[in-house]
Amino acid sequence: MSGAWTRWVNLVNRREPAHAVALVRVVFGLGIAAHMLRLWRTDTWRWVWLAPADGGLVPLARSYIDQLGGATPTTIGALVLTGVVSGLALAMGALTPLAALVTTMVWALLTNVGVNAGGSYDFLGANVLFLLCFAGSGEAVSIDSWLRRRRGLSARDVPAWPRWLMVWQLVVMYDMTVWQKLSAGWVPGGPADALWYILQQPTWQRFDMRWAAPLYPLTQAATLSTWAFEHLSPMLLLAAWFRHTRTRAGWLRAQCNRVDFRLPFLLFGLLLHVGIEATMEVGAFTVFTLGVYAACFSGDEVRKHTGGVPVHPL
Amino acid sequence: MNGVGRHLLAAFVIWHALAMLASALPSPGRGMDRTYWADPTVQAEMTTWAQMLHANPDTFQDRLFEAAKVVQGAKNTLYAPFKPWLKVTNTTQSWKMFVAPHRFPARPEVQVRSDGGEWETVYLEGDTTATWRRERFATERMRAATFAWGWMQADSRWRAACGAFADELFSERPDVEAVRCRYLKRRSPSAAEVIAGEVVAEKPTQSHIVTRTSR
Repeated sequence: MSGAWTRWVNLVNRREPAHAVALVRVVFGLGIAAHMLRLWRTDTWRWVWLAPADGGLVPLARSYIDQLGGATPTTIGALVLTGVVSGLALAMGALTPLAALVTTMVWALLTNVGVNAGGSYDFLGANVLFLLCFAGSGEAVSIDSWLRRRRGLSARDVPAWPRWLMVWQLVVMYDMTVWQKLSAGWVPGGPADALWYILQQPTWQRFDMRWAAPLYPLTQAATLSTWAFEHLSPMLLLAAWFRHTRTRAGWLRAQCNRVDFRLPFLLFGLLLHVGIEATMEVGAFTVFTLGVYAACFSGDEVRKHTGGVPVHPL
Repeated sequence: MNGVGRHLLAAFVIWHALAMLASALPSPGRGMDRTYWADPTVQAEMTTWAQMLHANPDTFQDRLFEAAKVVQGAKNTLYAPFKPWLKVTNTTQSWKMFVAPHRFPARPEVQVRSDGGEWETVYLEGDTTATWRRERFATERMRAATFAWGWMQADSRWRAACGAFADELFSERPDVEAVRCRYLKRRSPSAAEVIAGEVVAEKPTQSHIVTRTSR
């Protein structure tokens, strides 16, 4: 067996404290509960997830929900409310494995029913929830872990691979979206007016954005820096790997570890997403994306900054 | 985890990471339908790119379509082995986010008419006075839906949605005899035009009328 494969097997089977994936879990649980609650409170679920005969707007897509008797008001209403409860349970870490599984299934069932009534947050939600099912995220920052401590049991380490796949998810998302930003308004050499015109789209804007006209050069700079930021995303994975293997030799590794690339990259991302959220309505996407940011740090690192516990390198 | 399980897990992680990538690979998708290319936003993009590349606009579009077929074919080939796994686990993904700004956006409007009178706007996106079901329209899911239905290719869905709006309005307001749903479309103004105080007029499109007697 080759050495590379053995190293890979060892890496994949590595374990770490659950604190990083626990933060991802809290953010996704709250995000999903809030999303479902909003759809319930405004009755939007009837428009987007019911058939026209039951008050829906357009014919529905074929989906697994057909196996549950179809998208009836009772079934869909129950699923929406289940999403609220399971999302809250996931956030609090109560019966975490069950909460993760139920939330994942509810999300899968509902987001595949509607036609056109979804967005990238559906994909991000589905993919990260799937990984949370394997992450053991209830071992920290949870009611489950609190109960374990009360019984005199110590916290268990969890597999690190779901967190690494979450980082991979972030990289794939940013890098694949920028390769599809083909408008001349996005790329260097063009008018760099993509962001200006996106902010003028009534569909997504929270309020009239014509006031930003005097700031047009700033929107151009933001356009190009967003494009560059997304192209740099593969560096995030490389930087995380170099931090993980910082004791190894190598000039490039040493140079990369002089500055923790993750911090400026994620800080820029934070500002970008806060800016988007302040001016545009893009649903749960902002919350979900920022939630995955927590996965860019190891459980040891997060535990160190939240509990003062001695830390190993990433 | 011991023995074979460790190796199976290592193989699984590779498999799933590749599946994520294959699913997310760029592809033209709906852009392979050239009827979408007739939209003024798309045509404006084509013209700008042709100018940037010093190409003939018609030749450029034909070559682009041929290149898009190659890209879509490659994506389909790479995606195929992973498709069953991605479907079963609901982990397909696509990241076509703000691929290009919509330079000719449209906003939905719902109007009612009573007793043969004038059309009264009950909902208009972005209007703070016409607020029927505003909270619902403002959710991210309805925004996505009305954005998609604002393309001519999705007009049948917009027509179906109009029927549902009409049913609710007829039920709530016995005086309403007809409901009209349409989009108001316009070219987004440039920053210079906004500063100069120029106003770009909106034009109605995709207009559908539902009468009480027809339901």
